[in-house]
Amino acid sequence: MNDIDQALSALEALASEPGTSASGPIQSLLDKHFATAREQLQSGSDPTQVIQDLIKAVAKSKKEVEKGLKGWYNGLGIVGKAVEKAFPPNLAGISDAYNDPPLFSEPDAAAALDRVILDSLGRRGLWEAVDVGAEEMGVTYENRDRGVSDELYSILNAIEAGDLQPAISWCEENASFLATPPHPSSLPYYLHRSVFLRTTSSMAALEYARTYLMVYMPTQPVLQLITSSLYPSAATAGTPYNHDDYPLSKMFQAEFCRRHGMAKEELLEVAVDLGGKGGALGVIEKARRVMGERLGNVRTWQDLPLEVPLPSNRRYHSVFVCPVSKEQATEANPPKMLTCGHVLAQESLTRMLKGGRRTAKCPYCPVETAPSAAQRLYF
Amino acid sequence: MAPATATNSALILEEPFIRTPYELLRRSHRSAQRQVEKDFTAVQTTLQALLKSLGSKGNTNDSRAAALSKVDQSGERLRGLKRKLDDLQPSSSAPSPLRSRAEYLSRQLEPARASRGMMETGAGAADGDDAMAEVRETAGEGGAEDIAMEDADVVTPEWKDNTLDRYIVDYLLRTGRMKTAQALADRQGLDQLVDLKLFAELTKIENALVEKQSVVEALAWCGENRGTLKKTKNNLEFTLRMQDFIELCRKRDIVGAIAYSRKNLSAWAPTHMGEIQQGMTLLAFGEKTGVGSYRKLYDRSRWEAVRREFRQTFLTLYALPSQPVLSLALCAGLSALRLPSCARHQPPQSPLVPLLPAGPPLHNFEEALLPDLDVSFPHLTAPIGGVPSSASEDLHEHPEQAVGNVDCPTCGADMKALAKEVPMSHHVNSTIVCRISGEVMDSNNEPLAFPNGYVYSSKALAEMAKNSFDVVTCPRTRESCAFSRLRKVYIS
Repeated sequence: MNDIDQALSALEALASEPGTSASGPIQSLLDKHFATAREQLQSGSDPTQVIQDLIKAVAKSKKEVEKGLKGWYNGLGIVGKAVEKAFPPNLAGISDAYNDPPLFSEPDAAAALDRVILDSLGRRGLWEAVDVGAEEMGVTYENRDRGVSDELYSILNAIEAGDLQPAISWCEENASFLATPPHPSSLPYYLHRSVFLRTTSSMAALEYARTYLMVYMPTQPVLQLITSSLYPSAATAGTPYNHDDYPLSKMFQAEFCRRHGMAKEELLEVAVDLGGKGGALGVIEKARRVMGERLGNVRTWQDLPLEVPLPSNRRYHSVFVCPVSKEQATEANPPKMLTCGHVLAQESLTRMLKGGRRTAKCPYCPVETAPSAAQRLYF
Repeated sequence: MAPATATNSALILEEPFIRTPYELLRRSHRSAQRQVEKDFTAVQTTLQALLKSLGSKGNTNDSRAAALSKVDQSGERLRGLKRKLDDLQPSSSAPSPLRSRAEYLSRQLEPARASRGMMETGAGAADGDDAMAEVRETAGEGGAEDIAMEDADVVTPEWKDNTLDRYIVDYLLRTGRMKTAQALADRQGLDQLVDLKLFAELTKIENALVEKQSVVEALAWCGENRGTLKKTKNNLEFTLRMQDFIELCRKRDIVGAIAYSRKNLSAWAPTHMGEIQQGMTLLAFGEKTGVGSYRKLYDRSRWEAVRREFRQTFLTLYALPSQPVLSLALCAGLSALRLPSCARHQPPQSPLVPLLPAGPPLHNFEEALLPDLDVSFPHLTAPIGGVPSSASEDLHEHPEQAVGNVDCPTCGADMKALAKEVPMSHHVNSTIVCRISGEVMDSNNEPLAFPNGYVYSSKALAEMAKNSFDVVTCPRTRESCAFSRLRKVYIS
């Protein structure tokens, strides 16, 4: 990237000097020779002579301009080399591998992708683009979440701007949801806490704490928080009175999405991020290169030939791979727990019971398990 | 993964992001060259002609006035040329898209330097270029959600956010939704980062091909890029000429067709003799011919094929991949995630239903907080479901089949339709995700099984037990039992 930068700077520098830029010679041609020619003609010199001189000057200037163009071309070549080095042309080949048939080109898939895009834009509150898009795509895009999404963004914007009141009001409106198991949320506490910490007058802060924070006494360190206002913030680093900022907007977004049954992250963004920047495409490409023709057209693959490492926050489902058969468990071949607690897939267990054996020995420990004692697991 | 490889594979899809503006720079240079040649030749011709006409007249007032006007005319032409060159030549005062994009990428690659670098360029650009300042302003407005992400993500938010929007714009442009693309680019301040103009050109020429059935625009583009096309042995121009010829035959303008073929097709004879010979037969056969192979040449759908070939050539020339970057990223991402167990997420009947049958309900919430806070959040995994009204009624017979995860991209209905096209993910090791907390279980957070075989993470169950006198309840089947009756599961 630095190489590109430098080469580009060198290229741009050419334009700033009349001596090296392509247009420089033209300027001096105009300033000197054309101006002189004008003057001479006006003052009555022989036009033949004047024009002859001018023609010579133009020819000379053209050579200089061509020199400038040449320099420009060379500079461009250096940029090109840097580009080539940083971004060797791989993508065309990758893209072509997926051409047969092109990705998501079936009408159903294309329509689904359009909807996914509109959803993504709407989810992020970009309604201008959604409206134009729905019109241009010729679909009626009814998003029941429109108001919801707007509400989310107006509250989030307020939080960013330092105004927690809309968020607090939302929490009050949804108090029963936030208090319900399995997820009683601490969001209201943290919102009030933040208001408390931001209040500069200690009397007002105390008053605020009395009104709003006492409710949280059973679950939150309210007293500790209140006491902290006695100490100036500079002296509190590393003590229990030091209060880090909480990612309030992230917390709020999580609760808000949960309340409305929305995914916590925008789905298209997750998938695209994982595919590109997350390196999935890189991993798949490597497999395609290494295994080459043997795997056939990438568009006909049923399974990826290798595992794409996923970060743990991108794990959405349990995957059980039988340690014996290395096959993924399915409804027909479910995971079974032996008496010792080790888990195998049903088929592996059946195989171990071949030949009329009444119990199977666990492959990992000496414990024997009768088939009836094996417990089906649900992850 | 080592950082270097991570960077490289992360940048695979950014190749056109850099290469396309580079190709455009080369294009500027070519057109500058052409312009110089054209204008200088014109000026020289004018002056030579003037000289000739002066030769006889000598030094008179009239001749001087004539010469003066010609000189002024030529001067004006040269001034115009100079302006054009100044516009075409990349300079620091008007940063080229390549410059903006290189800066953009390096900002993302060095997040530490990010904010500082951004402010510097922001200030620098504001002086010289109002448009840039405006772009940044818009980016600032749309930045609220970015900031929301900031705390948890290593990568700077603009990177993440704009990447998706850039890909979406590219997709919209390729599918001809120019207005939507423009609207999104305006809203997110992406003008320098997407190829709006380039695709506008492509669309214009394609429309001419398909709707007006005219090859003029496409041929003009070919003429502009003749050198490159010749170097890559591209047949586009021949295809276009052939189509033009076919149209003449369709009109039964035989004389015109013969003249046209002499002029424009004969040059291709060494490489395309077969096709030319076949084409020539159309002089004899009209549109209504019964001969299959000639009928095929007359078919209107050939225009569509011409359009496809044009698009392919156009994209290749500007280093754009044949498929939208969005599709490629999405394909890889979906196949990394797709599992046989991805099912349609069933939203709960009412949002207030305390039971969330769908997947990890806690949204990995603890991750957003400080790690040491994990223990101090007893309520996060408090008793689930309360007292079961009637165990048998509430029992989900096959919860595995219908339960998706609202957070999982491949569980959504539309995404599922897309995911059908991509391969399933591959796994060599088990990963067990807790349905209560959404956390991946490991040796620090072991899986525990209810007597009925339902498995959750020990952390989540321990929290639940702590708050309800050591009784734990399976949120899917509502079976309750003492914590001590849970069995440890060993996943190897």
